Amino acid sequence: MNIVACIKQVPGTTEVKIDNSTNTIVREGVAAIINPFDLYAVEEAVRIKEKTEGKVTALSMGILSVAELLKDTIAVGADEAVLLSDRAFAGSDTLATSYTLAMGIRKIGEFDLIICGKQSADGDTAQVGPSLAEKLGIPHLTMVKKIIEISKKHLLCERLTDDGFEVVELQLPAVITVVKDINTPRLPSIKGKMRAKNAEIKIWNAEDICADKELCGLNGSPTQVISTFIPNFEASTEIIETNANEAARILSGILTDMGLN
Amino acid sequence: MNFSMTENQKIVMEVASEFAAKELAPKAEHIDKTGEFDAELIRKMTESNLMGLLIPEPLGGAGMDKLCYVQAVEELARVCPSAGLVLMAQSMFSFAVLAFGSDMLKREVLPALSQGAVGAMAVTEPNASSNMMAIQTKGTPFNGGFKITGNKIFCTNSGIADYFTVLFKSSDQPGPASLTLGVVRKGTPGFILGKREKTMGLRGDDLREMIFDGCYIPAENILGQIGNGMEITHIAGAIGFLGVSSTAVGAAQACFDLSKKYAKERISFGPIANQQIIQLYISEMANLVEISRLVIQKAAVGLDNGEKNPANIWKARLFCIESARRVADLTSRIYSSYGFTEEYPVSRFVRDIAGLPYIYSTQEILGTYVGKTELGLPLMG
Repeated sequence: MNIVACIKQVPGTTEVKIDNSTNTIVREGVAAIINPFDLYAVEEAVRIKEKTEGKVTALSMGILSVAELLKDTIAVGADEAVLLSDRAFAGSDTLATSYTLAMGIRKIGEFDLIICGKQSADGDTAQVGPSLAEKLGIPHLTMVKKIIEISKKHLLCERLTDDGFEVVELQLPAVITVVKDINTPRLPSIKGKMRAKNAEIKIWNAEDICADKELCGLNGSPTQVISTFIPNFEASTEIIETNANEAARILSGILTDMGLN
Repeated sequence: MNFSMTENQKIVMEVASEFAAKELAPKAEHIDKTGEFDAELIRKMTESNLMGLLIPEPLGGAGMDKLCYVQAVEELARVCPSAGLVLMAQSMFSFAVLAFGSDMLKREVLPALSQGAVGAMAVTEPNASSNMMAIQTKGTPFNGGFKITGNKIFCTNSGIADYFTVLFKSSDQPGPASLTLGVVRKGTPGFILGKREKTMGLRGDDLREMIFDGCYIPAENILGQIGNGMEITHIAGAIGFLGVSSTAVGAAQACFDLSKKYAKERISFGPIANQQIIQLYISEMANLVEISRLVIQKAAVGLDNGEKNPANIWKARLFCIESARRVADLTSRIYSSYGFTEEYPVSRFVRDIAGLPYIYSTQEILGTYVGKTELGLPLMG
């Protein structure tokens, strides 16, 4: 089976700085990591490959330094990696991102399954996976927690729900997004890192993937970030100092006045 | 002289360090309390290619050198010294088979070791430790090989190994020519594992009594030639000495790191880190750990470069063990009563270091070897 695992570079820190002119996250000078959910995507892709034979291609869109990060996917078992990098891709929202990734996947060629992490640690939208499926005109399933059966044309899996899980059957090719329950990502091996050291990461620009620059980057992003801020939470406190029964009566009255009772 | 690490060495260190932090560290305390070095850890060490570190790539291993090996052992030992010994025994066994095994044996054993099998080298007996000539496990010629009878103790990995080298008396000839080394598979009729030793430290090392009663070793499982057993044990023992020394360095580094942290936290007449005596202790530990590391790396590079004289390895082992003992002592002084409790992890490193001087040789015997070498005296007699 030919599997594409999509990964994203995210800041490796919880202390995020915002560029006030573009209202986007400042990534320069910040240590980058693979989006944690995407590690599960890569691991699942490699496990499927090990059972069924085939190939895993890791795919990312980002700045040129992401190529080094993509080598980490080779170190854990991906066969090759592709980076989509072009100034035209900068500032992409999830729609522009999914368009660009779709064009990249079309250039990669035949595929049976695309696996994405549930969401990114910085954007948190969880939109790219489903949007990518729509761009490619294939089915998708989010929040996959276990693959029960897989063949070239068919996937049977468990999908996480609020109440537990449901069993879903899906025709392939398709896109799935995975949650952390699905596996435990392996650590890179010595041989894996040696392979990664010598691996050549393909880098494709907008022209290579025949992407319409009007549909990429800020140009292709109907959503614009107006403001990014860390919300301030202010809480006022009232202490009711009396016996328990009286305190309960007073509290009930307060909640009623607030419309919460 | 170039002290920079090669790309391969950096990779091995990264893999070992990440494995130690993410897989070993969460289990280190449990290993110390229960002695369980579980099969899952062995599987993951195998997947990381650590267990096949010295085995050539065509035979499934990682094909790395002795310098990579000592670095990997140290990284594991910084978190769990028992894990350093597991890797040491595996590497020593694989080295012995690679260097002296028949083609048939190499084709069976080395790929197996790269894929999850575990090896161990059984030499010591209840009445024969540093004095190998006192070994009583006896081999009787049978069908081209030998049937062996006797018992072994204090063999690292014995409780978890699939393959063992066993040193036995193959003849009544005087001297080393009477000793032969053969490979026995777990489960061979006439070979059983006995009770597990309860130890003060290094509790993740599953030490079992090994009992042989007519256990057959076929000709193709003999390492080298009949009568070469002592020589091969000494040659493979170099890997063991490097491993024990690196385990000592790793454990000493752990003690050092924990001591620095504690010295900055502990308040007694102000932070104890502000007291000169503590600063002197820390300084001494810093020097001992750094120099130990350098001396073991030098010995490893010498072995990689084909150095036949084992004296550098003996000297490295002597220095690293004594340094680790001193670091453990200074750590105990810094931690005071708290270092004597199990509240802090430092006590398990101190206990583990206490067990290292007795592995494969005592410091005293090794010290006489170095002294005799320096004086031009024969090692034996």
